Amino acid sequence: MASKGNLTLKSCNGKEFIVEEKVAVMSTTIKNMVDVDDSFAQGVIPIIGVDGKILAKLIEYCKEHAEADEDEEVKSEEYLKKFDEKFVDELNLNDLYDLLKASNYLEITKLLNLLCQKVASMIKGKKPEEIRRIFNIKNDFTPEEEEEINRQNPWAF
Amino acid sequence: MDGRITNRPKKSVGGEDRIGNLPESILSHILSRLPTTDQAVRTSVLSRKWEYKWTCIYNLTFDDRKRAQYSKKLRRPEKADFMKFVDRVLVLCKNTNIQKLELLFSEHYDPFRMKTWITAALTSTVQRLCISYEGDLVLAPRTESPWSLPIFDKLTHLKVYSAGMAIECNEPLIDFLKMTPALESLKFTGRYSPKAADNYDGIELVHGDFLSCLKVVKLEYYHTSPRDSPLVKFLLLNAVELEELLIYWQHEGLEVDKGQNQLLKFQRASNHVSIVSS
Repeated sequence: MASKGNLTLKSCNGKEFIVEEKVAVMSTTIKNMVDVDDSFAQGVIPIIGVDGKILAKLIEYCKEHAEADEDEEVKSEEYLKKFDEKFVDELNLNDLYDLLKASNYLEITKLLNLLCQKVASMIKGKKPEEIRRIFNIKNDFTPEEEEEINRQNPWAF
Repeated sequence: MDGRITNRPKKSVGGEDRIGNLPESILSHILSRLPTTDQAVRTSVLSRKWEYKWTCIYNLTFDDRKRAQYSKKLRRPEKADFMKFVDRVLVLCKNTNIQKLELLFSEHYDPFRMKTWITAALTSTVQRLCISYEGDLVLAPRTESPWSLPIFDKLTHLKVYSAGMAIECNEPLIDFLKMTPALESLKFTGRYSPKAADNYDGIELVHGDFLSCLKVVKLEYYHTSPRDSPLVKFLLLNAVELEELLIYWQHEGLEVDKGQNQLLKFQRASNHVSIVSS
């Protein structure tokens, strides 16, 4: 049982994390659960479809970005920017995918934006062949079909 | 042509295309964050799964300036290619909640064509609109009755850059501002024609709390003096909460003080506006 001001989050593979409420409510989904039903605030909140590894990552992010309490020093924007950069740079493709889905489901808007920006930057300015390589996309067009798509969009290619 | 060689199947290294499996709502966030719409459309060639993924984007940026910077070895895209591209995107794009619309044009287009594009892309959900154009600007669809005009009540940021020689931009801009009750920030750069200003009679007080969200206005004029600017007159008369009005102008031999005095005489709705001109 979590002490007052803390919440217990349980991943889909049974890992429990005790976190401060201000960290957990970075997720709009959790915030709504706690607001609507008091029993969540006392007991364990199941985080469906998110495993322990990804939940730990989410908590790591939310801890840094949670609103500072009155007696805490407010983190500088520059510090958070550096943290964000390092956070996304260390992710592999599978983590990136799982985190995108989890932050979408849990409505952690800031993190979702950060991750989408990261994926966009991996696509930006690259040739189709490079993008396929980065994301393991198998080209299943015939050369004729590919030619046809190029022909339809001479401006884009 | 040499792209065909790369079609040979590669040794599979890392399994399946998981990004392509993401729900459409997430993919729309990703593809809407690419700098221009043609980059989003380019993902259609990745694989069958990706062919129409891009149609969920909610930010549109049409930028014809890459024509000028094209490398020599590749075929330089034609102006007609760009026009076809804009037409095609507007037809295929299925997201009706367009949030940001950017039109960055260095070429001249038929005003009728421009109007068709703007009307098609400018949905009532647009929050940010940026237009950079050198030809005649037709911002809003002109209709007979003012009551049938569309209202863009989500639009908060408007940026207009028009560098053309014969633009009388104030008039369409003022008419457009009568349709944007939620506007917070306005940036305008361009010329204005004193002749058009003399003939313009649309400087009335707009009804209700229109323009009541407008806080920051930045105007940059060049080669003309905005002393009698209907736009400035209109803004000062209607924007109740205006905090900052910045006016820059370049004009040889202009007496700045004289222009400033003129501006200070305009009737103001906001009692806490700071006017800076230089």
